Amino acid sequence: MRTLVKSSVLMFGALGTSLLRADQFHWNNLVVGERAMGLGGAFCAVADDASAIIYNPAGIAFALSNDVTGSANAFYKKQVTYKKALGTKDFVERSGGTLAPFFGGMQKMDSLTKGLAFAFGLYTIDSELKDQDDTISNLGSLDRFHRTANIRSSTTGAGAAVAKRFGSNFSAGLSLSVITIDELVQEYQDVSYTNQSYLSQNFRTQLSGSGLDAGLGVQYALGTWSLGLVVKLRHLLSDSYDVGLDRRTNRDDTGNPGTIEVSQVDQKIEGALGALPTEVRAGVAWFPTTDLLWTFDLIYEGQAKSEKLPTIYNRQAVTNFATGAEYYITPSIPLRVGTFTNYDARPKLVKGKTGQLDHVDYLGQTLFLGWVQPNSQVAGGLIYQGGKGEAQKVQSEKIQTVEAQSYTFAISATHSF
Amino acid sequence: MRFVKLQTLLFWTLLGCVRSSEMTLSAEPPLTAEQKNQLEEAQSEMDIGRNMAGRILRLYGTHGDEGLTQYVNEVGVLVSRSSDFSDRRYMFEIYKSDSVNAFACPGGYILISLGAIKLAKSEAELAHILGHEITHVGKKHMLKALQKMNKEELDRAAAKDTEQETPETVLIRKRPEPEESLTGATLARYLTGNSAGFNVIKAAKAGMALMLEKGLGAELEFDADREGTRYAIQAGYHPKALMNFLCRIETSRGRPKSYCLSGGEVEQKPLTVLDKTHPKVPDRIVQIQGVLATLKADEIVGAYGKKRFKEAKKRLKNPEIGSEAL
Repeated sequence: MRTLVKSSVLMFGALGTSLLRADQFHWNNLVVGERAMGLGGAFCAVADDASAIIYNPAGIAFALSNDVTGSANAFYKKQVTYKKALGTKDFVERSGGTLAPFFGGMQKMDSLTKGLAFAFGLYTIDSELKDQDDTISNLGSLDRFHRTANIRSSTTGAGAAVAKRFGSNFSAGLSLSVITIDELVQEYQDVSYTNQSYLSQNFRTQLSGSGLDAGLGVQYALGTWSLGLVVKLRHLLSDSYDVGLDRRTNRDDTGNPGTIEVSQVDQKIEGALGALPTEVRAGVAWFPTTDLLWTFDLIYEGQAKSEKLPTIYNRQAVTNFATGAEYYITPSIPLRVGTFTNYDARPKLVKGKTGQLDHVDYLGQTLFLGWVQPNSQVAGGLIYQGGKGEAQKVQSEKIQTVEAQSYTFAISATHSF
Repeated sequence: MRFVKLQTLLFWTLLGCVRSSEMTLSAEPPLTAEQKNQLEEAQSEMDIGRNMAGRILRLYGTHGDEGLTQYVNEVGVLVSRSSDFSDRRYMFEIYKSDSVNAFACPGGYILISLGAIKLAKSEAELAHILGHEITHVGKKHMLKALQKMNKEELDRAAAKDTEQETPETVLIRKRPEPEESLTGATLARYLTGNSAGFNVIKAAKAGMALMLEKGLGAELEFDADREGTRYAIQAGYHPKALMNFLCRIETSRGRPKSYCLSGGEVEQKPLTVLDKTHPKVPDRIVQIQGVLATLKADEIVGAYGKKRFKEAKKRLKNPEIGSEAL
């Protein structure tokens, strides 16, 4: 079964040894949470709002107020450019959309037990909508290549956290989320060659999965400093990879016109994704004055192996970092800036091989301005990610340079009570 | 939960009054600047009081017995109708604490402790306590105290409330106090119903600090004792019920009755919230005796309502209070 799928993927037309795919290989595609977004996701040693479910559940035990937060990424746009993939021409893939990455609330429960707090959250850590339509004519042996491709993908979570402060310096917290993965890829190709051979195919894959994300975090406060550590264990409850292919070609193994071949594939592979990575996140925060905050996180994502589809879903361990600063220009206007990495969990490409997956490492920057009122605040800003890497977009040993950019305009509102 | 319902009901009722008066007035000539100010102040008062009441109930919890709460409301409403502020609406709630105390939050939210009900021996005593709190609300003692504070004092008092029992390691995360802008206030008014031009949360926090730590001051407490006594008497209750209740506070903590009537040196006891925020009982008794003399109380026949009160208290598992709770 695995061989059949692999061969289907590898025979994927002139363009597309690297099948269009949603992203299960970067762990920092969307930064969520009102303050966390601005700080580039460096929030493990702070995490005193509902986004603690993601960054460190122990943080809510240090919260000063109860909050309800909603964030909306009003606009999201991404462009990946495969340099000189088509002779001297670049090949460009674009995606975009709108999404709401976070809604959550936090409630202190000192009346039950001093230092006890509870939070809930619904969050989206990855989302992509891609509508691609490419037509290429008169390129080498290609007479005409036409491809339309659509991707709808999202990774969402819903969870809760509870934390308790012990004494004034130390807190511990637990979080539990249910993760849902849904990636649908539909692609149609119609290829005609100068030697009268042709290839026509419809390809559809859907990755569906659900899992549990359990976090155990601690925070330790020391004067104006705070230290945070969280371990997140993830367990896939179920996952499946559906493949559907309808293909018609008269092209033989040598590339010349031959007998017409019609093939169909309809497979369901259980356990294709195999695993989700364990995350260890360590952070430090410094509160030198009420106006200023500096944070730094180191995030280790362990490897996640797939026995059923190792060529696609074997993911290597990566270590990302994030750092951010918050400065109140006036008591009502905080400025938040952050920098973070979003490294690729796929292996780097090596020369002499074919059918290798893309590898693109991103560096992100965030810039947010807030407007704070006594019981509420709104914040808006931009998250930019610039990526560089390599890919084999064309079915050969040739490796292309990849440049990628994504822009996310995000707005968020919080009400404290 | 029931308090939330009551609170919500009262809020919408009060808001309905304000809104309906707005609607009624909209058919009339436009509001003058003074009328607008009065309307805004009324909204502020309700917002602050509601917030404070919520904070107290979050701190202590509600007693939760609907029958007993309804009874307290009936007595409270009866006294309020005989007060100088009968046009106001009040909500009475019992909070879960064996300490003897009661709180009057702006806007008519009056909270009495379970301990106070346990210590009381008659409906008349309950009526006098509620009369005292109705005076605080009607004369806007708390609201005026907050309005007298300048920004720095308000900030300090609000911070004190936040900082109470909050470790330094948590306070280090505090961000600057935001400046409320006209736009923000206007948005808040339409989005949350909060009034403009007055920082409700900050005022409520400052009010909590006053209520739990500093108190309103001896003069306002004496005033509430005098007027509350008068209202309870006008409602038909026995004139000396408050005196009896206050004396019982002292005797139940082991002090002689002579102390409450004439003062003097007594053994020091740990300070309760009531001690910290109110004048000494002997001094209060003097004030009450003064008003009783003015009203010729000896000639007034008032009801104790002991039987009814005893019946209501049957709902409590432990209807009597121990001296350690004081």
